[in-house]
Amino acid sequence: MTGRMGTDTGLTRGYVLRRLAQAVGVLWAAQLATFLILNLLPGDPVSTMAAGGLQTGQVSPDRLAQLRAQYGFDRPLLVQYGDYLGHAVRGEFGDSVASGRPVSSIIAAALPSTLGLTATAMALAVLVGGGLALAATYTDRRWLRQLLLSLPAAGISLPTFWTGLMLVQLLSFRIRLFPAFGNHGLRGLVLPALTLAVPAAALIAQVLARSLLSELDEPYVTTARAKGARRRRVHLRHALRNAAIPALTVVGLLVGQTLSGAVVVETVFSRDGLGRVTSAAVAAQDIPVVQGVVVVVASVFVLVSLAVDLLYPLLDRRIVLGAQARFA
Amino acid sequence: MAKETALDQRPTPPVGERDATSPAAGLLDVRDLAVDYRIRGGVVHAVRAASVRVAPGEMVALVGESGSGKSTTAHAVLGLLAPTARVVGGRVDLAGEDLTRLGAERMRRLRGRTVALIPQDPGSSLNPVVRVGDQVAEALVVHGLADRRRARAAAPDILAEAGIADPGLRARQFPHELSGGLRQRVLIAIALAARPRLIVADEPTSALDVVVARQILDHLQTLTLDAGIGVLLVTHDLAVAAQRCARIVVMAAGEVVEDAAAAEVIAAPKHPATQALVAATASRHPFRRPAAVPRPRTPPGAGAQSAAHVRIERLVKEYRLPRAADGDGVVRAVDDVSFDIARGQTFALVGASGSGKSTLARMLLRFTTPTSGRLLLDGRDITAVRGGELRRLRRRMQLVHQSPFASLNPRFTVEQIIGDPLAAFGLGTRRERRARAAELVDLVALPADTLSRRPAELSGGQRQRVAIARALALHPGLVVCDEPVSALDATVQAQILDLLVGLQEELGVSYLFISHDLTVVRRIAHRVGVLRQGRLVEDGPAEQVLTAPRHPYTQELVAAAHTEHRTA
Repeated sequence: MTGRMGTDTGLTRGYVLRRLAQAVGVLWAAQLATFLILNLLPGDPVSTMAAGGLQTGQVSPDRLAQLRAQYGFDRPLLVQYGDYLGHAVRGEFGDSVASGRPVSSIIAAALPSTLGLTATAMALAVLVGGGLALAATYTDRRWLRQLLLSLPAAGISLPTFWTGLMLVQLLSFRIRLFPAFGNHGLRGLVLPALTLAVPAAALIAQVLARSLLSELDEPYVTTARAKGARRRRVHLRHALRNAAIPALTVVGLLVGQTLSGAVVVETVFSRDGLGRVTSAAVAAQDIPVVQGVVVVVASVFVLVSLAVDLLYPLLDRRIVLGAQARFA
Repeated sequence: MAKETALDQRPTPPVGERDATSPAAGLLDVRDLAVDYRIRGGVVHAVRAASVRVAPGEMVALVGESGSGKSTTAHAVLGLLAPTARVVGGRVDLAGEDLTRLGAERMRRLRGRTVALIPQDPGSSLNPVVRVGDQVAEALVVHGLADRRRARAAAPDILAEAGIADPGLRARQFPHELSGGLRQRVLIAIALAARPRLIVADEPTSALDVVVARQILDHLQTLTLDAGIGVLLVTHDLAVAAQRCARIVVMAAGEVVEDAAAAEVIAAPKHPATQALVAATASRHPFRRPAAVPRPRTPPGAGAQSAAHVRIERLVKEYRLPRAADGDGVVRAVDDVSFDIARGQTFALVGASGSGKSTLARMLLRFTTPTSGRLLLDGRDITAVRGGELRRLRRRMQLVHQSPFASLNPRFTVEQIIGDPLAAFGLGTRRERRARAAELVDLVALPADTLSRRPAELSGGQRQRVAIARALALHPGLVVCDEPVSALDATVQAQILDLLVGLQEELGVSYLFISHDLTVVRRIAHRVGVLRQGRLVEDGPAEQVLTAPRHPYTQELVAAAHTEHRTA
């Protein structure tokens, strides 16, 4: 099946199917790795749970064995894995060892907040980073260009937690514009999203500015100017469209990074979300929850990179995905 | 004002030159133009005194080596000088307005509308992500000559006017889907779209093969002369200039050194720079091969299997089409090609772009695996050699690339570049490698201080010498030269070809020489093979193929090369 999907795009149906199969493979591998690592770790989830439940002190071996049997931890690893996988493909990740709630509902409750934070941060990063790159390459003033081009380097070198603390200090304690902690709807989203967006915006700005500058040196830009096109048009319609491709790659990678960055930021800002669920689950060796989180996060990674790859040929028709060889 | 008086006192041009156009009296009049570039730590006087006139319906050639200031002059006419450039003297009158005094927005309105550009490189002068038709339509839209919808509808007609068949289809395609010749026609369509009065054609055909170049220049000439459009043809090729233009303006070192009728410039060049150009053109003239008889030197040990250094047997390379739009989706880039390269001799492979020349070279060098067929080096089958053996094989075959700009690592010094193949094979100590690099730099006739320079500080010709030195570092028996001079000026081309011939005689290396330019091939080849759509349609001794071609396609190539240089 290598029929063409559109009449004009470089996408082939075969390519999309192959990529989807790869995506499933990646998910499976991520999940298997988590399963193995968590099971090889020293410590025993049942003891932890039992200890937590019955305060400190001795738990009778009978009670432990009973709990192990209840959660299936007494079976051989391979059987446990097969059982887990069988449920996982149906979207069931079992129950939390710590709280007894179904993992799927724990994740479902935490996911929207984290995804919202990530999406807001990425939107901010694209707007600020893209705007910065465009302004820096468009301006005639040398000093302004130099200043704008030096901002991203500074932005990248700031550690996220420091940015977060500074923003809280400034916008929350000094000016009292936004709440520093907790979940307060949209206003509460601003500071954590900004914190996450700063390094992402810096990277986008750096890549896009560099790629814009090199595109503006291309002969087709001279052709466009020789037609009598205005600078703005040359910049936006000609150079930007060509420069967008490397920037798109970076945006794709940053979505994943921002999602994992959300874990730290959620802790700094005491927000509910996947990050806090994860840190709590790891601390408690709550294997089902950790596994569920890994699968969900890996899915987001895989979907975003698939979406980015499928976008390339729409931006640049020279990119033919899944072709055997390039034509000389 | 002193300036005005000075202008009034200028001698009036000879009657004969101005007569035909006296009412419109010079569409373009560049007078004593001077342009400086600000560079780090100083100023470069790129143009010192350039005066060029073009009348409506006239095609004037602006000729010179690269660095002579001809491109800067052309860009000044378009108001497209680099931000670091400054007009420091003279004026550029276009249709009665001095462009050097226009503001940015006024100049923009003239660009495309009054003066248009046909750029040099059709490969990169079109926006790769915009449909061809939209790029043509844009020339109308930006001047408010049509709204987007109407401009888009008009694009096919403009493309047709530029000689493009099936313009409706072409308008919907992207640049990479068109051949080089078609792209150049699209660029002509863009230039003509808004009906300009002057066209600056900046080396419009230097990237195309002779047959296509001739068609395009023919067409451009008809279109502009009929419509009374003036053309300033910027070129380094005196032969092209002489054939196309009645008047030739020669620039050297930022100054116009000669401005006369074409025949006069060719027959009696006055300035040394012009003489050099004429000499270079004459030496490129086909079928006058100097008596450099091949001197095959048999290296010791070659003995019995002497004749064929390289044997190519029934070589085929098939590519699967990325999108099976038509037919079975397989293209034969190289189709059943066989030939031998004798030791110490040059086999030249000629053909248009896309004929499979480079694919063949890549297969010989084992960068690409053949679909079928055999490759023999010194009588040994190397078709399936792999791993460590393939790596050792690389010592015996080296490549000189087409582009001296892209094939050298910009961060390396020349010494590092030339010593790199030695380092890659772990040959010699660092000191020995330095000595060998110095030896090689000397061999390719570069000054010793080149060793510490980086590629950006060298000219195109010097860079190609470095590339040749690098190719020779490992004492290879075979050097594949893939269009090694097509990116260079005529005089530099001649020097590099002489160098290659001299090195062959001195070192006994064999060359596979790939080119689309018959005039270049003539100087260096012992045998010539003509590739067309992957098939070797003709091969034989160079003299025979170039003087008495048998295949119709070769005849066409030879004829095209001949006309293009007849006038010279």
